[in-house]
Amino acid sequence: MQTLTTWFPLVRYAAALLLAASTHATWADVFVSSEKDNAIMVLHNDGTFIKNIATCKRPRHMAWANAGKQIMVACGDSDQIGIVDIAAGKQVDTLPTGESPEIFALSPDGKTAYVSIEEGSQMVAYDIARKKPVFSVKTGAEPEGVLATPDGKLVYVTSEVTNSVHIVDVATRKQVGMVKVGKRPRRFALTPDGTELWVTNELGSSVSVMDTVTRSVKQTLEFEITGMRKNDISPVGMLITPDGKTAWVALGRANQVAEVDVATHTVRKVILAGKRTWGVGLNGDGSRLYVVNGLSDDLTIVDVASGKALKTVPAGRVPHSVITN
Amino acid sequence: MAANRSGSAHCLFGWVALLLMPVSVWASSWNILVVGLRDDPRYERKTLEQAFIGKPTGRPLVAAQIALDEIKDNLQDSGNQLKLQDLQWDGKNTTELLAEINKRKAQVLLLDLPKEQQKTLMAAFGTISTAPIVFNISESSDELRGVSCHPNWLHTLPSDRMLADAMAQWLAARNWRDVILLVGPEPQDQALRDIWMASIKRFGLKVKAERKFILSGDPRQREASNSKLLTAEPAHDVVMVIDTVGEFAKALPYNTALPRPVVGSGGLVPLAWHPSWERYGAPQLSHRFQKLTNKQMASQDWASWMAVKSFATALDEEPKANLAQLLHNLRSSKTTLDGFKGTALSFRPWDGQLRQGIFMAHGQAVAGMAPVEGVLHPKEILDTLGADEPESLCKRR
Repeated sequence: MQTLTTWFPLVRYAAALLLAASTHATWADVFVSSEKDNAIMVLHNDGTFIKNIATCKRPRHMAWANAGKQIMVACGDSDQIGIVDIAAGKQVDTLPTGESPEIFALSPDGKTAYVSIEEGSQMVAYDIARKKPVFSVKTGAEPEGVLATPDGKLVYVTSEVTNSVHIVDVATRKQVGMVKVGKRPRRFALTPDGTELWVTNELGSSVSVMDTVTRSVKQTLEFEITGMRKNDISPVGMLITPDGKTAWVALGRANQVAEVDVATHTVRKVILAGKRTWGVGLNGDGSRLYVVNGLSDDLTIVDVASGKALKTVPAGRVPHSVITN
Repeated sequence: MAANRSGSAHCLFGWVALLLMPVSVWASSWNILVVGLRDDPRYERKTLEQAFIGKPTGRPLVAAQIALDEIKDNLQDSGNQLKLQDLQWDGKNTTELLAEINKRKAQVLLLDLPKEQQKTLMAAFGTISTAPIVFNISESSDELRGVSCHPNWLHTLPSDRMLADAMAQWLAARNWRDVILLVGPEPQDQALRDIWMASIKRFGLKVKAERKFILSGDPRQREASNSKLLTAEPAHDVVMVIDTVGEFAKALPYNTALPRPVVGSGGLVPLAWHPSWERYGAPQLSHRFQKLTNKQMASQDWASWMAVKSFATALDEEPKANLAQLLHNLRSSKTTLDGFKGTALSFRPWDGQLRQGIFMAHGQAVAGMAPVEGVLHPKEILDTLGADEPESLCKRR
């Protein structure tokens, strides 16, 4: 009895510690959408699996919402954007969209989602709170990549079939320009100063660098890898680091990811990842790059400083995108 | 006889007149004409119901229209108007057809015609200095790409040799090399057999036995008609069946003497397209087609879609180009194309054939794609399928 009393505060302390640890365990760094698992896979920054969060069907592109408390995820097969609450660990709401949404971008105020609707060949803007479409703009067939500028004025959309980038003015809700880029344009990245819009061309084996002021392609960065042909290189996922110095480009069937110097538009190095490198994401301090491999169903963790792949971990079935805390 | 001659002379004159018209008159207006056969046995109700794998499931106009709809707004923005029409020909009177093509000012033809009719038409174009750009969208015969080739003739459907090479690669990669070869009784079965034998040789497969099959219930002919007797021996990895009709091949899987896969015209079949292929944007295209037609997209539909897409892509790249320049850009591989097969496709300069990956498919699914991983080629991996430059029989490049 005495012993127990003596121990009691300690037990309480241990319980508190355990609680703290278990709360901490819900903290995660890496989130991967897995198309065929209808789930977002949650991982520690070292790739340790934590759990799956069930989502709407065929989750693809993801974005942080609600000041990092939620993830919005486009679900291609349920014609919705799912809203996943991180603390609750589940999907808490859905936003109905047109048929087969793939990529979307949020307005800077987080109130509007601009979604590429493949089947309807249009970009549709949705009021997230009211769950209603606000306006839509016709695009070329199979619109894919969407990017909203930080000033909230413009939205860029790629059309895979017509090899072009549509420029949509948010205020007038009209297309204000169209720029020819490479073959099968997929995703965007914008330099932090807003002057350059980068577009990956999956079948062009290149990145088109568009001048956002003149609205013209000022350079096409063609990827070349020793021992590979142009056709083996199919860039898709891409990001530019917050300091604007580096771009990371997943080279698709080349199974590599390229580190590109933004200022000079030259490739610094390529790093071998998994089969068909697809989505890319950086961790908070920029020390780790996560590369999703669509054909080998895994995720490669790259140490940015040394340019080495540290390890590759399973990532569900047909992983699509990765975002990090 | 004399009347005939003057008829074709008139037609010739018509073409020349068309060519002499100032380009600006119709530079911005392009007419694409799909030419089919009026009483085409491939589209008879019964034939369509049989649905033999690899055969067309309907006329190719819808697929062509889909390709046009995908890009017509873009073309319009750059000052080009595309119009799609179709006509059904009796397959006999070439002069009449030429006159009709002329009348409709068709600069691009999509031929959904049998081999002989395509050859006759192209031979007629051979005597005219400039012919339209012609896409063969329905005939797989290698002869059209080889000895009968024409500089204006492009082929979006894979050739028989490409299909055979794809299957041979697939089998070699699995090390399923020992083959029992069953060949149908039709002359075209024999011709196709020769093509497949070339692929067998190219990829090092071994024919352990070759037998001719017939369709018959006659017990006196059972050696040639009973699938168990045909496939009992010698030891083999696969049964390869060459059957241009399709009835025997369709019934062969699971009716062999030993538990062996059937490949070729039945079982696992090499195809240009299959609706269950899930990657590279393919599902969106198959879905668009399904929505409009209520049927699944077949290889011939893909070839039709691809033909319009090829022309439109060339035009989109150079909106001010004339017909000869567009043909040159396509034929020289300068224009590369997105066929939703994952890699950039292009036409082979030496025979006008579209290089492309081939699906190994059975009823429900795509088992894989050729070129298979590990196959090598000094210049272009897609050229491991079909007649490569040195072996091409095409003289008029």
